[in-house]
Amino acid sequence: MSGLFTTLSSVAHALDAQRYGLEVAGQNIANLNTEGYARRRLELAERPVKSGLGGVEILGVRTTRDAFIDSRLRSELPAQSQLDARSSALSIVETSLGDEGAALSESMSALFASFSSLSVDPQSSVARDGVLLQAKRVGNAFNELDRRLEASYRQADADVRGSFGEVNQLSKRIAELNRQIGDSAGGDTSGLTDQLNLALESLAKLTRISVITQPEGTVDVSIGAGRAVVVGANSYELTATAAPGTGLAELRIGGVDITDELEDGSIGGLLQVRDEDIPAYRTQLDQLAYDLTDAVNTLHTSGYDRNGAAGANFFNPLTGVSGAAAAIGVNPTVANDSSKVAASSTSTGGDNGIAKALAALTTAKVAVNGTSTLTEGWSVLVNRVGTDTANAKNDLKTREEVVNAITRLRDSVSGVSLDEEAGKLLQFQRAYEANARFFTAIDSTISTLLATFGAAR
Amino acid sequence: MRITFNSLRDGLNAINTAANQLAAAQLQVASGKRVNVPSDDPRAAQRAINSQASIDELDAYKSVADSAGSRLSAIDSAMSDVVDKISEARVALQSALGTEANQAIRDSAASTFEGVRDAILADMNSTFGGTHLFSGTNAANDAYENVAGVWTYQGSPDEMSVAIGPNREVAVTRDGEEILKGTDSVDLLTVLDSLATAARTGDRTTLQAGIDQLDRAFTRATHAQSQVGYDETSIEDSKSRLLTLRTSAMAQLSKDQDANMAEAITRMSRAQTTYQAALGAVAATSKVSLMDYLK
Repeated sequence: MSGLFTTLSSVAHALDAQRYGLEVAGQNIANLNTEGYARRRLELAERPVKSGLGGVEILGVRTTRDAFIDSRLRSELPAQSQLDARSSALSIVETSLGDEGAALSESMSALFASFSSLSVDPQSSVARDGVLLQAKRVGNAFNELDRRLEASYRQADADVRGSFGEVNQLSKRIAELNRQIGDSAGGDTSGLTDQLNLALESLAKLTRISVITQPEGTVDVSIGAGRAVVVGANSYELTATAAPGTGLAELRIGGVDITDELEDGSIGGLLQVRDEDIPAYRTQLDQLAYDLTDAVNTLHTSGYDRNGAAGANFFNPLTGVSGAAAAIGVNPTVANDSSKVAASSTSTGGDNGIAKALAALTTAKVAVNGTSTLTEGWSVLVNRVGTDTANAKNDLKTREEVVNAITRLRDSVSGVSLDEEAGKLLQFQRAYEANARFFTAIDSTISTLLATFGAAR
Repeated sequence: MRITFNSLRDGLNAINTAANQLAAAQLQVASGKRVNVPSDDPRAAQRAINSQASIDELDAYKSVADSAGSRLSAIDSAMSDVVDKISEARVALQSALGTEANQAIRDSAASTFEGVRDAILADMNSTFGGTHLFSGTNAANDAYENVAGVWTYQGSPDEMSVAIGPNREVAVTRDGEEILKGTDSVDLLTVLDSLATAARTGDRTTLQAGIDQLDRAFTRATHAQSQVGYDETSIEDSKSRLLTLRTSAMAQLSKDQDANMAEAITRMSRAQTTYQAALGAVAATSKVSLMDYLK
């Protein structure tokens, strides 16, 4: 049986424990809005003594974190970020197409309508000027569309270049946190672990990562096909070099080009837009520009102008499909002299055979290897951009739901509940009060005892 | 499951989703369009482009049909004049062949033949918007010119046609030689010159032969005029058909592109209610805390 002074000491420990409980609750409340913070839990146990009642002792403060949930979240974040980056970039691309994607088809329709008008008045200077005006408009529409796609393409590349810097920054941060955790030598590393998890999540948003957690709590991180970016306290930098010819960013680590390995995360999304989506759209646009140029030039050069001379190329001749949308434009020889517009199929002049044939191109299957009209070819491109964008947006919504669900799950384990902390505050406050009363009672008992001794003497 | 302070974030997500839905519904009502960007409905956007292109094509046909109609009116007018002039020549020829015809009457007839020749030449060389109406596809040239004392057709036997509808064309110039000469050995202008000379010299044989020549010319001219009338009717038919096709294309375009306003307004109203409910729910739940009850 312990003595009064031992009891007094035990109660003092209990008071410390309850006060510490209040501090832990206060810490949790203080970090309500701290991103990455996992709630702390005070662990108490009965104080072991050889005989009698030992009171309470503080075992420690535990961070409530579920490693499996954290890992699941890190594995879902790259896909969400990839879709987010892609849908944002594609949303800008689809607005480039003009009002509901009709900008180019309207100008092409206007060109063919002008050829129709010319077929009625093949000698008319007004009709010829109208043809040239609409042809320039079509050329400008192709040029402008290609310029906008080029701008989106370059923006995606610039964003990729910006992102690799973030990867390096986060890798350094993780390596530094690893070093601090390693140096803590068994001390409380919960704060560092919170920051480490936050940094890993940020990195997972940029690209898919593989994380190996070491027994002491440090992590080794790799990206792509197992390319290590963090090993212990060391980080390995990504570098961006300009690809020969295109000047596009190639991401390298240790001199190895890993661009094709980065499929997920915002970097993966941007690379998909830069290397797959926009080049495919530009190829389709180039094909349309090439088909239009080829069809119009073929007819135009088979005809005769108002002076009876053989028709020149109506559009500047193109050397190939690649770059056609940027290069298409009315041949200056024709553009500067409307009499050079070849409307006649005979050298005697006055005929409208070529103008009529040019007008009929509006319904001719001259696009996409003769399988569709030019307008249909354009509508297919618009459909493709719209479908890609809609799919990216829809997939993003689904993925967001998954990430939100896992985040809620993680929060249910690691998040701070204000009500719960309020309850804890009350619990520890009352416990402290009770212990204080007990302390007072023991103190009073000792005083009584001492007073009794004093009275006897 | 523990409900933590972070659940407020879910509430904010719900508010954001509701706000996006409200903004989308408002855009539909304000613009009157169901498809504002291709991703709203890619297939509808594709169909709308093709429908609009069809409408543009039909409008182009309509414009050509209107111009062709004006041109055929000009041809019709010229042909009426030619028919009148041939009738006038026929009357003069009868007077020159009459039993009481004297030199003065024959000279007068000769003058009439020459006047009719000039008038018919002017009709044959008439233009509309710079295009010669009776030169066939050689529409830049006069139909007839006097080359070294011989009336020579400068035009082409082929007629210039324009498209006034899908797979539908109408000729907007005529082969002048077909009208003035046909299968005869000489054209009407040469016949009139011969008749003028014959009238002055009293060559009754030539004058007598001229009756049949003028009659055949009259037949050719009236036949050509009736063909013009048929083509004018054809243009009106085509315009009517174009209007029907355009109405159908517009209906398809509207179906793909335009918002159903009743539905859009209902959706906007529903989105507004959802948005208000989301705001209210978050505001209400975030106000309640055990902290409020601690003394």
